[in-house]
Amino acid sequence: MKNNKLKWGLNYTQELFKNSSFIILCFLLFSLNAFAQKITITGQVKDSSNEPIVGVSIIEKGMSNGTMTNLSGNFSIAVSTKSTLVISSIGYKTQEVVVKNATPLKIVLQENTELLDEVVVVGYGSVKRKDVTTSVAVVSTKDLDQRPIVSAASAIQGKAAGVNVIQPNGEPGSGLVVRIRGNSSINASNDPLYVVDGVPMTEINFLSPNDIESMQILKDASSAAIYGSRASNGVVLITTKSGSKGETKISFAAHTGITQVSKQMKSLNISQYKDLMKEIGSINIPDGLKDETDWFKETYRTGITQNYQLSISKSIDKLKYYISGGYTDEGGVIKVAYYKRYNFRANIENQIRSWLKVNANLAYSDYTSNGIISGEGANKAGVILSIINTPTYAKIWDDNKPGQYYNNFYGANVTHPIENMSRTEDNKSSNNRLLGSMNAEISFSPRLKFKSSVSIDRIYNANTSFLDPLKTEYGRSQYGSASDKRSLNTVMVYDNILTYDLNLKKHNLNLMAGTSGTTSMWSQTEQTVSKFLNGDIKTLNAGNKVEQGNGTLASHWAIMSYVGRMSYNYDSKYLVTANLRADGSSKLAPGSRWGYFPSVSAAWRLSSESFLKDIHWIDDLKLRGGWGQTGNQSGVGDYGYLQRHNFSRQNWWETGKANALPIISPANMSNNELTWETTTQSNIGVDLTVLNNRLTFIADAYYKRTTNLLMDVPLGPTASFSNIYRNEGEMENKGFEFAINSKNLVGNFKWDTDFNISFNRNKVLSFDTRQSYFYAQSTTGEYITKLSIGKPLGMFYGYISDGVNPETGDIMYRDIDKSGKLTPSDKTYIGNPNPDFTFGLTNNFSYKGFNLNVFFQGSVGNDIYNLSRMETEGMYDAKNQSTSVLNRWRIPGQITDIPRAVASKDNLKTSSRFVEDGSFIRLKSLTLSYNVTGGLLKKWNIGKLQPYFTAQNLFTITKYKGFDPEINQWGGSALVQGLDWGTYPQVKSFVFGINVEF
Amino acid sequence: MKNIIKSIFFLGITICFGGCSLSYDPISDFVEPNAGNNNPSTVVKYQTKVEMKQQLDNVYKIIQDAQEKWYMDMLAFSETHADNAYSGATDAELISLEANKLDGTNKNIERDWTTFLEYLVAANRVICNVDNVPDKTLTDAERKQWKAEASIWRAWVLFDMTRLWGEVPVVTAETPEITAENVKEMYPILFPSRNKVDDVYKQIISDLNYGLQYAPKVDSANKFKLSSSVAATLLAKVYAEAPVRDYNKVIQYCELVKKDGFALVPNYSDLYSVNSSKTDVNFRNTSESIFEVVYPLGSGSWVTWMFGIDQCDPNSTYNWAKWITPSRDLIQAYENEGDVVRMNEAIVWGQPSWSIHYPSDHYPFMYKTRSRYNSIIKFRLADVLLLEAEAYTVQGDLTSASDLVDQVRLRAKLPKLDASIRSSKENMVNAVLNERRLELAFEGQRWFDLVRNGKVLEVMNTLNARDSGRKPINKFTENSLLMPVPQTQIDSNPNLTQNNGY
Repeated sequence: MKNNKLKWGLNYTQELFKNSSFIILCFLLFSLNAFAQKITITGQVKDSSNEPIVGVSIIEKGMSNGTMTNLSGNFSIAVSTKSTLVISSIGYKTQEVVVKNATPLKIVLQENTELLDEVVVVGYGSVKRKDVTTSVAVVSTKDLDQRPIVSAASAIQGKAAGVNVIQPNGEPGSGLVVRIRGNSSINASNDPLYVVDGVPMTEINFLSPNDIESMQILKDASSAAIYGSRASNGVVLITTKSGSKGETKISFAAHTGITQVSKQMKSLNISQYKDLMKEIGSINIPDGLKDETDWFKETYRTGITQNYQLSISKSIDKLKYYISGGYTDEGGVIKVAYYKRYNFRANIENQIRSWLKVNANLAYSDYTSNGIISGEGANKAGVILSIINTPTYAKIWDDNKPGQYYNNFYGANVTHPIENMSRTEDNKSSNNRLLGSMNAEISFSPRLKFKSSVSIDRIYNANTSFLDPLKTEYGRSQYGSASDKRSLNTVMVYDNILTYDLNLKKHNLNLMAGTSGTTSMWSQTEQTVSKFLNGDIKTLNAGNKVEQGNGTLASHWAIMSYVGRMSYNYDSKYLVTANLRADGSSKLAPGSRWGYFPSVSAAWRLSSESFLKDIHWIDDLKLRGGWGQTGNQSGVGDYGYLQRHNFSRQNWWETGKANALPIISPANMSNNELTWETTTQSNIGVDLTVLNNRLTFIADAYYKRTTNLLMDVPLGPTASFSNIYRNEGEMENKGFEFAINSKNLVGNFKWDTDFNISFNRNKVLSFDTRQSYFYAQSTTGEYITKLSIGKPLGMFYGYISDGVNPETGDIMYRDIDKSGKLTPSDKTYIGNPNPDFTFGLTNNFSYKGFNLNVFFQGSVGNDIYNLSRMETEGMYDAKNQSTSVLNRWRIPGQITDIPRAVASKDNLKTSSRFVEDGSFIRLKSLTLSYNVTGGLLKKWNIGKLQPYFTAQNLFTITKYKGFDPEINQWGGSALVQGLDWGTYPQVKSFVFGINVEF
Repeated sequence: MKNIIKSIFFLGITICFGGCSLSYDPISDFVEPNAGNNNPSTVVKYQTKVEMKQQLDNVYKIIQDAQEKWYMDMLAFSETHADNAYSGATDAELISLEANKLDGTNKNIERDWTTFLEYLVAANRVICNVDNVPDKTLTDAERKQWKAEASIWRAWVLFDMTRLWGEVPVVTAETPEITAENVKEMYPILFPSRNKVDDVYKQIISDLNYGLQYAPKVDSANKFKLSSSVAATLLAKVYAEAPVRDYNKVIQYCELVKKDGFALVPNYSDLYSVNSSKTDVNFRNTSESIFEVVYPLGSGSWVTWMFGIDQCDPNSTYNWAKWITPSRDLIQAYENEGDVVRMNEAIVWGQPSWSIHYPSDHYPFMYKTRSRYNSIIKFRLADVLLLEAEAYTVQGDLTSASDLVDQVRLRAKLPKLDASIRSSKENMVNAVLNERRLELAFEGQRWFDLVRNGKVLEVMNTLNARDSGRKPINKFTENSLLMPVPQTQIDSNPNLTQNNGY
C-alpha cells in the first residue's frame, strides 16, 4: 500500500515538473540516495525445523530494491548502511532486521500460526478474518494437491461445518450434491451458488482442484446476501491461483490409481434358482442347464484413474501470471462408464498504471463422460440389478445367433448386464466450457476504487447416442437408433463496483455500491434417427427414419441487480456490516419481479477489551450475530410465469395430412403472481482462539425460514393444465454447527486435528394448494416418500412390517387403525433420510518430511430405502435373486426374516421391511506423503519432490446391507433422498501420486 | 486521463442500466398472446379456425396414441380379468388381474385412471372453446360438428370409466386461473370428488345425443372419425347398462346404426388379415367397421409387440412373454362350437422359448392385432347386431334375436342356432353371450358382457373347475364388479373414495 502511494505520487511528478520547487526537492531526494554508502549483505533464511526456505522476499525497507532467497535459502543484497531489511514469505511471520555490518545473517522465520490476519474473501471484496462478522467457513486447500480428487466439490466434503457433501453414486464424473445448512427449497434449486474469480455459476465440473488457491463458504444470510438473488443456498467462493513472487515456479502433479467396487453380492446358482422358480411357479426351467456365467465378475472390473497437471507461475514486477494445463481420466468399475477432462487456465494480473490494475482469467476445459442405465429394474435394462437378476445358466453371447447377446430366459423378463451395458456403450456426453473474465480496477485515490468486470461463461454440450441394430433386444426392435443433441449456453455478467475505505484512527469504514447484470442465452438442437443397416457407422446419416421429435429450441433470461454494503468497525473490536441487494428476474411475473434482500450483522471482539487483556491464554474471542434475507428463483423455468404451449407434430405422410400443422397444447398454467422464494436466516456464532493460537473453536447456531416456496404443483388429471409454478408454502431449517482446529503437537513431530460436526433439522410449515405430495414409485406402483406439512423433506411413508408370519410365510403388516384389514390408513412415516448429524475428522501427522493424513467422515441417523432389495430378494417373478433368499420361509413354523416365494407383490408393499439405518463412519481418505530433500534435488534444481499414496473409501462402518450408505438414485433431489434403486455403487480407490516443483 | 475514467465509468453504467431489460418473450414456445389466455370465461383462447382445429386434431392424435391405456390395458381388463385369457407375461399387475387379487396399488389401473381423466381434458378443450373463436371462417355448422366429435369422445371415455370404477369425477369445464385469493375455492375444481353413477350416465347420454345430432355422417373411406354412427352405437351400449337400462332404446339405436349402410364383410378374416407379401393389411375401413383407429403404412402401431409376432416384420421374434395368452376355456369354447374360422383368426400357435401357460412347442397367442398396420377396431357391425339380439332376447322376441345371431354365424360358416336354443329364453341369453364371446374375443368386450348380463359370479367362480391352466382365482363377489380406485390418486386427492371391497 505504501509502495502504491509512492508510485501514485511519482506519476504526478511529471505533471508537476514545471514547479521548480518540486524539482529541487526531487534533486535533493535523488542526490541523497546517490551519496549513501552501499554494502552487500548475504545471509540464509531457514524455518524453525532448520530447513532452508526458498523464495523468501528480502526488501530494503523504504526502498524499491529487493531480492529472493535461492534453493538453499541464501540471498545477497546491496543496501545502504543502517538500513532495515524486511524479510517476508507467505505462511511465515514477517521479520525486520537492522543491518549493522556485512556479517552474513542467519535468519529463522517463524511460521505464521496467526489465522486472524488471513484474508477472507467475501462477496465483491475481502476482509481480514478477525473482522469477519458473519458465518464464513474457510476450506483448507493446503492438502488439496495430495488428494486425488477430480471435482472441486470433493475438497469441501467433510471439511466445513454446516456443509453436507454427498456423492449420490459412484459413477465417474457424477456431480456431487453440496448442501449448505440443509435444503431450503423444494422445486427450486438447493445447490449453492459458486463464484469462481468473481463469476457466479451453478456448476464447477470444469475446474481442476489443482488450480484452486482458496475456497470460502458463505453460510449465513448476512454473508451471502450480497449475492442476494441466488444465495439462499449459500455461496462457495473460489479463487484460482495467481503468480507468486520468486523464481518462475513450475509445478507438476500426477497421480494414477485403481478403483474397485467396495462390496460383492452373490446371486443364486442354477439349482437354487430352479428351486425358487418351482416355488413361485410362474415359469418352467428346463432340465440340464449348468452355471455358465458369473455376472458380477463379467460386469465389474478394476478401474484405472490418472491425472496430470502442470502449472507455471511467476510474478515479475507489476505483472503476475499463472498458467496451467491438465488431463484427468477416470475409468469406471463398469466398463462403459468413464470421465475425461482436459483443462487449461491462464490468469494474468497487471498493474498497468499506478491507478489502473487489470486482471484477466481465461479457463477452458473439455470434459467427456458416459454412464450406464441405472434406477431401473433388470426388465428395463438396469445394469446393477441385472447382475443379481440374471440367471447364471445364461451365456453372454447367443451361440445360435452370431453377434447377438443371449436372451432366452424361458419367460423371465430380464436382459443380462453385458447387454444392458451395451445399450449405452456408444453414448457420450461431452462439454466444452470457456470461462473468461476481465476486470479493471481504477484507484481514484487509495480510498476510492472502482472495479468494472465483464465475464463470459460459455458451455457447449454435445450428447450423442447410438444403439446397435443387432446386438441387443431393444436395438433390434428399433433397427438401431442414434441421437445427437447439442446445446450452447452463454451467460454474461457485467459488474460495476465502487468501494470507499476510510480508516481514521480506530474507526474503519468500508462502503461498497454497485450494479450487476446477468444475461443468459441458450439454444439446443436435437435429432433422432432410427433404422440402421448395421453398427458400423454410428452417425445419423446412416439411419433411414428421421424421427418426428427433431428440432431446435432456444430461451433466454436476465437478472439485474443493485448491491450496497456498509461495514464499520471500531478498532476491530466492535464490528457491524449491512448489505442491501435488489434483484429483478425476467423469469418472474412482471409485477412481482423485483426482490429486495437486506441483511445486517454485528460482532464484538471481547478479546480486545481491556477486561480480557490480562488473560493471556485467550488470543481471540469474538461473538457474532446476523440476520438477513436471500432469494431463490433458480428452479423456475425461463418463462415460469407464462402459460406456454407444447408443439407436437402430425404424421404428414398419412392420408389427408400433407399440409397438416403442428398440434399445440398448453404446457402449464400461467401465474401472474410468481415471485421470489425468500429465505430469512438468523445466525449467532462465536469464534475462540486460545493457547497461543493452538486451539480454535468456531460455533454457529442458525434458524432459516423459507417463505413463498417455489413449487411445480401438479394439478391432477382433471385439471386443464398438468402443472403450475406457484409460491406455495413455507419451510424451516434450524441447526447448529461446530468446528475445532487443534495443533496437538508442534515442533519436529506435528499433530493437527480438525473436527467439524453439523446438526440440521428441516420441517415443512405450510402448503397452499395440495397438502401432501408423493414421490418415488416402487416396483409395486406405490410411492415411497411423502411430503407433507409438519414433516421434513423426503420422509419414507408406508406400512410397518412386523416380520414374517411363521404360519403363512407372509409379511405381517401392522393394522394401525385396528380396522381388521390392511387399508391405506395403516400407512405411517417409516423412515427419515435426513441425518441427525454429519461430521468430518481430519488428523494430520508430520515428522521430518513425512506426512500422514487420516480423514474420517460420517453421517448418523439417516435412513435408506433399499428398493434394490425389492428386486434382489423380492421373489415375486422369474428374476434371479441374491443368496439372502436361501433363508426364505418354506415350512409352517419357520422363523425367518425373508418371506415365502410367491408370484404376488403382497410382501413388497412400501414398508419398513426395506428401510435400513444408513448411518456410517468412513475412512474417506488415508494419505501418506514424503517430502524428499537432499543435495541431489538442489543440484537438479528441484524445489519440491513429494511422492504420496492415498487410499480412498478404504473402509466404512455401517449396518447398511446394500453396496454403500452414501447413496441417492435421485441425486441432488430434496424430495427423494436416501433411495437405493440399482444405483451405480461407490468405489474404493488406491492412488499413487507425485508432486514436483522446479 | 480524467476523461478516460469518466468514459469507462459511463460505459459501465450504460451497459448495466441500459442493457439489461427484464422483459423477455419465449423464443421457442407460444404463450398467451399467441395462443390463448388464462381466464376461459372472459378471454378468447383460440383466435383462428386453424388454432381450434389443432385441438380437434389433438383428440384424434390422443386416440391414435392411446394404444397402451385405451387398448392394451382395456384388453387385459376385458380378457385376462375374464375367462378369455391368462396373464401372459408374469408382471404382478397382470397376475392380479388373472387371479382377481386387485388392489389400489395396481400400476396399470393407476395409469388408466389418470390418463382417461386427461382424455376428458382434451375433449373439454374443444367443447369449451369452439363457440368463442372469433374467426368468422369457422362456420356455425363446423363449430357444432367439432363439438359433437369431442362430445362423443368425452362420453365414450366416461362410459368406459364408469363401467370400470362406477362413480368417477365428471369434469366438463376448464380450470380457471389460480391466484392467491381464489386458491381455496379452487380445491373442488382441482381435486374433484366422484360423481354418482346416475349423474355420470346423464352426462354421457347428453353428450351422445349432441353427438348424434351434429357429428358428421359416417365416411365409408375413413372410419377413424367420431361419426354419428359411433354416437348411436354408444347409445345402444349405454342403454343396455343396468343403471339406465332401456332395451327399447337399445334396439332403436342399433336399428339407427344399421341404417347407416354398414354390412358384414363376407370373410371374417378380412377384418384382420395381412397381405400375402406381408407388407400391409388386406383391408382397412371395411364396410363392417364403425370406428377403427388407423395405423397406416409409415407409422404403424407398436402395440402388436405385446401380443405376439408382428406379421409385417420379418425380424420379429418371441422376445418376451406376451400379454393376453388365450385360455384353455376359450379354446374349448371354439372347439365346442366347431368354430374353426373365428378361432383361427383369434388364436395363432407358436414356439416361444418359455412355457408359462402352455408347453413351449405349442403355445397360443392372441392373433387379432397381428401386425403394426392392423387397425384397432373398436366398434363393428357384428357387435351391434349381437347387442340388438341381446335386447330382443330379454324382451322375449327370440325370433328376431336368433335371426340376428344367425347373420353373424352364417358369416363364420356355422349353422343357424338350433331350435332348442331358439325356443328357450334362458338358452338364448347364453347363446347370445357365447356368440359374442366367439365373435368378439380379444376385442375388449368379454368382461363387460359378463357384467352386463349379470354372469360374472356364475362364470368366473366356476372357472378354476373348467380351466386347468388358470391361476387359483380369488372368489368374485358383487364388489369385484368394479375396479379399485388407484391409491395414489386417493392419497393426493382427499375428496376421492375407494370402492367397496378394496
